Amino acid sequence: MSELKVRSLSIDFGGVRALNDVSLDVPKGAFVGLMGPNGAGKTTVINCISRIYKPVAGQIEFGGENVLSLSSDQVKQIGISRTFQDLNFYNLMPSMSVLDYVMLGQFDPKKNRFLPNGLQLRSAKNYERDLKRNARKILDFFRQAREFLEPPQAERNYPILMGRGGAPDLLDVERSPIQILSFAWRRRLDLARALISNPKLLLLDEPAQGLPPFEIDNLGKILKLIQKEFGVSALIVEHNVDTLMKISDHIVVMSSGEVIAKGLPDEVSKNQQVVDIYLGSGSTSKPGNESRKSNVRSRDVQPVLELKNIDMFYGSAQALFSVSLKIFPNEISSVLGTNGSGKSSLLKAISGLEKPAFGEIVLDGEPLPLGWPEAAVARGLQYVPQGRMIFPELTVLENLRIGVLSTKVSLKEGLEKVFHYFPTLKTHLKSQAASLSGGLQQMLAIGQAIMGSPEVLLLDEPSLGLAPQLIESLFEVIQNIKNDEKCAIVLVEQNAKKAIEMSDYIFIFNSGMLIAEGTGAQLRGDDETLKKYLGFH
Amino acid sequence: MDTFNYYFALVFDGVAYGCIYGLFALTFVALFRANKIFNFAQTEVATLGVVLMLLLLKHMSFWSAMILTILASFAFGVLLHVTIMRFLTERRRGSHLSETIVTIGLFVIFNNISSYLIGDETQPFPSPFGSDVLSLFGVPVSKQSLGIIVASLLMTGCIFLVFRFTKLGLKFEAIAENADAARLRGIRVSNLLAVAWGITIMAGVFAALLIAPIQYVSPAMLISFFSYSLIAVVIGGLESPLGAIVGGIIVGVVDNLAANVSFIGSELRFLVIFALLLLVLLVRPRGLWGRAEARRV
Amino acid sequence: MTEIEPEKHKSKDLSKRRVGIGQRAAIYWDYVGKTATQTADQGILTLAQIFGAVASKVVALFAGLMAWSIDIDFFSIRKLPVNFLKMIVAIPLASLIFISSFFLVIVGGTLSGILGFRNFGEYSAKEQFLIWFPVFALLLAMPLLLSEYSLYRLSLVATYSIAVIGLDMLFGQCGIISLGQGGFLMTSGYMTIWLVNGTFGLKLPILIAISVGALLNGFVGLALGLPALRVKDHYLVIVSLALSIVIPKVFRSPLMAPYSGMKEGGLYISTLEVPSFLGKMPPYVWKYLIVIVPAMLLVVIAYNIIHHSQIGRAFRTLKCDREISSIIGIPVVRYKLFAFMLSAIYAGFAGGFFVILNEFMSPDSFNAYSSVDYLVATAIGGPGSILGSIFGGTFLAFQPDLTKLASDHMSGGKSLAQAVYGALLVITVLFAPRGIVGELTGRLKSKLTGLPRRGNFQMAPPPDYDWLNEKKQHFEMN
Repeated sequence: MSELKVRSLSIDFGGVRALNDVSLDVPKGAFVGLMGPNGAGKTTVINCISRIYKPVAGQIEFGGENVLSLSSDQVKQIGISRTFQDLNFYNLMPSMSVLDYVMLGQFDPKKNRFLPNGLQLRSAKNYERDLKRNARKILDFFRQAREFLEPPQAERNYPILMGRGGAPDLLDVERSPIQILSFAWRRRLDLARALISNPKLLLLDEPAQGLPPFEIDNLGKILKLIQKEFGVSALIVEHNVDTLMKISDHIVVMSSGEVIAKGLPDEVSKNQQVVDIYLGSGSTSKPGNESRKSNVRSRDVQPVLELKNIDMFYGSAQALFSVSLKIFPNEISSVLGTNGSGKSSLLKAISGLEKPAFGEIVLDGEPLPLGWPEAAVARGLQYVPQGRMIFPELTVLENLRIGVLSTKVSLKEGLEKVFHYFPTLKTHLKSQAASLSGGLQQMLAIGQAIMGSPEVLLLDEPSLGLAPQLIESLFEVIQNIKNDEKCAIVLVEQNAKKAIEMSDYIFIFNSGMLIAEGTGAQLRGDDETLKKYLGFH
Repeated sequence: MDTFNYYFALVFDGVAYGCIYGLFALTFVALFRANKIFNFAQTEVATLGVVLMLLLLKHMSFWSAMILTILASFAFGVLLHVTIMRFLTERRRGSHLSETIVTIGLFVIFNNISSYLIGDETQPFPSPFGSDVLSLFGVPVSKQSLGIIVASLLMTGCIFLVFRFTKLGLKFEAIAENADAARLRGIRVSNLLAVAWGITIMAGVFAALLIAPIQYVSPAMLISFFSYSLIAVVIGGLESPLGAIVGGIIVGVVDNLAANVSFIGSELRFLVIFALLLLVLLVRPRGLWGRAEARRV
Repeated sequence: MTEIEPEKHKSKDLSKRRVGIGQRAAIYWDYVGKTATQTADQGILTLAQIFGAVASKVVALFAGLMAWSIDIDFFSIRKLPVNFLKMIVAIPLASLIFISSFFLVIVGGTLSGILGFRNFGEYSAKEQFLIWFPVFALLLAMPLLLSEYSLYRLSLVATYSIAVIGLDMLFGQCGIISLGQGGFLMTSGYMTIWLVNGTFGLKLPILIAISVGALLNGFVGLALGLPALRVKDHYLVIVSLALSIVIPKVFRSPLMAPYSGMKEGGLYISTLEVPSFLGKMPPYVWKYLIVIVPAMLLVVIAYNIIHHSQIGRAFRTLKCDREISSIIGIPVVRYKLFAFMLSAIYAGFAGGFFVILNEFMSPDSFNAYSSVDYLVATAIGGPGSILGSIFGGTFLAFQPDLTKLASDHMSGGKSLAQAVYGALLVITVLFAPRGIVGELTGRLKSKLTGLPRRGNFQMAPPPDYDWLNEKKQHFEMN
């Protein structure tokens, strides 16, 4: 007997079909894991259930109610509680203590009467007292749960309040403002807030993201406990495949907006299709690859880009831990790793879109000012972000005109170059960028970046959302660009095998740390090692 | 025929006022698109510009004073961004509450600086157009109104040309659509925002100078223009430049017509516009050309 | 593939921070204060301890300000303008606060010294009664202590504070700007006069008249707020501003002129009679009581709503993020509307008090500029705190005197003084976003409890826990 029924859900975002005919069930009391690579649409499904997005087609039914007819707050009132992926809003919350936040989880508009609260009549006082008591009970549950978790020794060095030592529990800091909780504890607090209203269904949006390894294990154990004690069902979106496999009763695998596999964790992990979408397709033993690998990394050649001890934070979550690496000219360097490993953060730090807290970036021997994209562009560093940041309401031509604005190249020369690599764009010059297909948009985005003959080109998941044939031709073009333009390309790719195939050098990231680098020769044909590096068991 | 002339004159004058409301509304919309900030101090800065011109007129001729004032207002707009607004935009806080409050504070400051400089009494302002009546296709219209319409349409046209056909305009469009992507393409956003401030302040001062002869100069001269142009923004849609102009003209015409209906008179005319505002919010909240809100909260 | 050595992953230790001279000074002062309050906590009250507690509060407040102003990074060129500003602004500001908050600090300090320093909202009901009661008793006893003029002043402070508190619930708690207080004040003011005078045939006792006026404001707030808040918060600013402009114009128009006393320069309320059971009370005392007693009630209600109810929590979440509030289960538009209605109702009461005190209302009494003044007062005083709003109300009450002082000494002084208020607003938003009271008590609280204030918190990984040891087990060394 199902509680949550999603049927044929479809939604479009800017010309791309983000969800296509997605259907899944969450039975009563079951934990269903929703996994898939970046851009698969997992968070989109959750957001549709939360009524942040409005799907163009499909139904969502929960306990007999039509969820699509409700507003976001009504969704919560019928028993669907949700946690948040990005907890940086805690920093913006005025005067909210830990206990306050948990009490907020029990928000019920029908019980909030103005005058009784204003005058603190008995009914209001009792209600507040009950809220407080429930909040403390939930926090107590979390405290007791710690018996089953990783030894406190590990937590002693991982403080609950930033900048202070000791490992008290949430109950001990119940009056502290939520701003100062450290990241892992924020996740627990958010979970407490979601649980306190005794929901029937929990929507967990990447609960493990940003957590250190031992915390991720703890999370798995806590979730199992919650399932037992509360009898609640859950739909969990997670990138960490290990954890998801351990805690889910069923798994749903998505890719590019569609459901490609469903079943028990064991079945799914052996499903070759699933493995493929994580490791990527493409043969790793194309003839002639070996010969292409030259020993560019000899002592004589200077790196065109060098990172020294880069630390980067998003609010209170650390995304990069002391990353140091060198990029050499005329090479394609790939950055691999699962999501949340810091690949995109790396590119954002290099491009200046985000400012690293510590460290140095040296471009062509000269230090690059951190956090200033304009400066980076002026020095010949171009970044094509994930999701192709083009200007949707301008035409293709206008987009390209913007591309040459800060370069020394004339529009004519720039256009020539773009058409050389992407001839299809020529026929779409007058079209609005938003109306182009995903593939064309990607071409436009890359075209914009190469117009000025950059020295370093950063590409963040260029194949995201593209059809397979397009991906092939796109990667060919990227290789041509490297050869003809003599620039260094840093490529972040989810399609690991493909990336290994065409790269001269590989960096592997995990949890914000650079854990391995090399020419990737050993990884070719060795799926098992690759799986291990990527954390996929 | 006389009634026709009478009503035509009313409408014509209404259009003249409407062009000014529209011009102010345009500056609000332009700045909001580029910077996501609503500059509440706009009309007070414009008043200050008129005051400056009055002071300059004591020492030089009309046209030199005007050119100097216009240039000074551009510089002042740039200065405002560089000294104050820049820090708020760069802090990238969640909401834009602080920026709006700061502009309200600037409203108070500039309003009082104006009254410090020229006192609270109303003063006259010379008009380059003269106050005679022209004959337009056989219908008598005031030269003043004609001048205002032509001048403001010219200014609007210039702004439009700049935004549409120059590199500068292209950069502004890029920033308005996606400021981060613009930075990635090397567009120096901060500098451009300063220019945007300069242009909008300059346009505001220009509009104030046009209306000063009719409105007479005093520190409070633009307060009703302020509210009318805000209403014009709502009617036209927050993100639409065209909507701003059309909204302004609608407000101007309706207001002028209402004022001349006997039982409404000059105090209750505002009530009519207020009712219009509420009507638009109830019937078509996004305005005539506004974008429909994607989110529902 | 080469593996990266684990040591290379150590990041900088953020836990060590530089402590400046100013901070050290503040820490020592606070230590004094803390000791005094802790001894008082044990329940042994000696006069010396009470005095010590009070003095420590005053000193700590002062010290907080000085700490902030002295906390200057002398070697930073970038911060030079800020530091300069701190030195110029902080010291006169400290004196101003010291003088104007002395009364509040004495009372509050005594009580918190007795009860121990905690977040005010954490006191139990009994403790809260202990806190409110002396304040109220003191306020009720004021007629015995103060002259008629000072009583009038105090009631004026109360009136303005109520209006500011109303605006604060909307602005400080929910983060929505309204420029409608001027219009609301005038509406309820006239309504009160009409109902007391019986202009339209209905004659009501004074307190009921005020309440009706306030409720009417609530309906106006609902009618205006709904179309505006459905769309965008910016539109509420526009609609409320339009209200503050249109209401005076309506009362000035020929249609309303006979009822608004336009020609006579204003409408007078009929003389208030002191009820017989109070005997020989002078009218001015009666007026004071009519204002102060409901005002106290309104303050208590506002306080309870903000700090002790889900409504207050919901408001604060709304200020933070709309979408997140909605997911947590808060009906966003409904609560935004409710906050706006609250601000209107409170302004309604304030308008009623205003006409009682001044016995007079004219279409010139309030306008759009008044609304801006209220916003300035809220932002300067401290968005989100009752004490801050009262500070703002005090500021508004004494502002005309300060302005007059300036205009007497300087030609055009009035305008300059008002320009300074605007500048104060800008400075407050830039450097003290929680308002003057908010910033000082915030810094004070953080120094005493040892918790960091706010801002971009960054977390360093634990220096000696080596996470990569775990990771290493997964890989085989090449």
